[in-house]
Amino acid sequence: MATAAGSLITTVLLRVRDPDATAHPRAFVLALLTEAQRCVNGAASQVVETATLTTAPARQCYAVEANLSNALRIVGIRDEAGRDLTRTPWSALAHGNRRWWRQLGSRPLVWSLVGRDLLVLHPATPDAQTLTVAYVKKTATLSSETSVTETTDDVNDFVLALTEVILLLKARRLDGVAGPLGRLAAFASDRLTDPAMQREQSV
Amino acid sequence: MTQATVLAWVDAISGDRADGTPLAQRAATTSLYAEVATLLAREGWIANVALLPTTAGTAVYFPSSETVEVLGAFFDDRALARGRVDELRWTATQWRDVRGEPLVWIQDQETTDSFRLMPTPDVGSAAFTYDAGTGTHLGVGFPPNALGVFFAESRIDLPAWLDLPVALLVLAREFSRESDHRDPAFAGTCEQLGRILLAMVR
Repeated sequence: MATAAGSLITTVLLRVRDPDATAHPRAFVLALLTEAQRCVNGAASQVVETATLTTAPARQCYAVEANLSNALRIVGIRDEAGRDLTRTPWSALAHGNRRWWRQLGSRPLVWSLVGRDLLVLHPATPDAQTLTVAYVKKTATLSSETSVTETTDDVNDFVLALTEVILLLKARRLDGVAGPLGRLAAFASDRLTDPAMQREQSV
Repeated sequence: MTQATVLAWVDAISGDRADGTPLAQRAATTSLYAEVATLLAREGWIANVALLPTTAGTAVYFPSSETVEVLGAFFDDRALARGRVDELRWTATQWRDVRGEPLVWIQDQETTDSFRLMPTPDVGSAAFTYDAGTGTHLGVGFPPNALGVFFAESRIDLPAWLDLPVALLVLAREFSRESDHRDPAFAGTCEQLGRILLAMVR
């Protein structure tokens, strides 16, 4: 279930003892919630969507943000027939063929990332192909207090904790930061030690 | 995301504690943003690809002014192996004069941010008849004997999901340097939170 942003704003302002939004305008907290939800979804991978990517003939390199503007992290790619492409480290492509850089094939077989914003689809194809890319979504901007979160209620605590830490930092109330910061650190640590995520990170 | 968006966050979270000019308008803050962008490039977050024209007899090339580190290189359709100067010395004492189709690239030690091909190309690339960047030339219009480069890039406009982590890392640097608003405890917490957020979006 999703939560209205206004409700989250009220909750976090109570936590930082500013219920009347005197020190922290509600519009500022709303903007913070947008950023917090994005980071938390990055860790939780809750909101995932797909988009099509049309390849160019003979081309293997694509900028992620320019082609998939809502993508925070690519998690999988399928070809037109619904076959999954295999994720491979780009540095391993040369092990199979030192001429992989301009190699053509009937369909892309593997995908790689160079950094986080450059996608390699290998091999290239003589004609354009339409691929389906699944990715963890960069959640949308919460534009008003009636906007609802895209992440579900079970991660609201982390969205609130992150917002709370920033508000406490802004007010230089560092003595109150330890609790929510500890919860966030544990959340991030859980994600990093998740075996599925480690496999993903290793390539 | 633009640099301006991040610096607006820096200003907002700093709470105008930096006396006088807002942080977002200070040259020092802008340089700290560039420092964080370079750090992220070194840590493998941001990379790009460039296609460079080659000239017969020219061994040293430079991808772009935003290059932090060359990650891989290709000559025509061949992936080049990464080499080291001390290895090449064993192949030939005058290895810099060897001409032919490049097989190896090395980080050049005599020029900044450049890399050297070995052997030195004995043919140049065909003309680039389109704009540089990641355009058509990486597809069907690929010019023979061109040099492809993957490089870690210190980019001004980072992906939008890095807004908050980058703002926090900039704040950590701004409030830990010597100034009239130095605040090590605040800076330390910003650094810690920024690192946690980077781990979350990794």
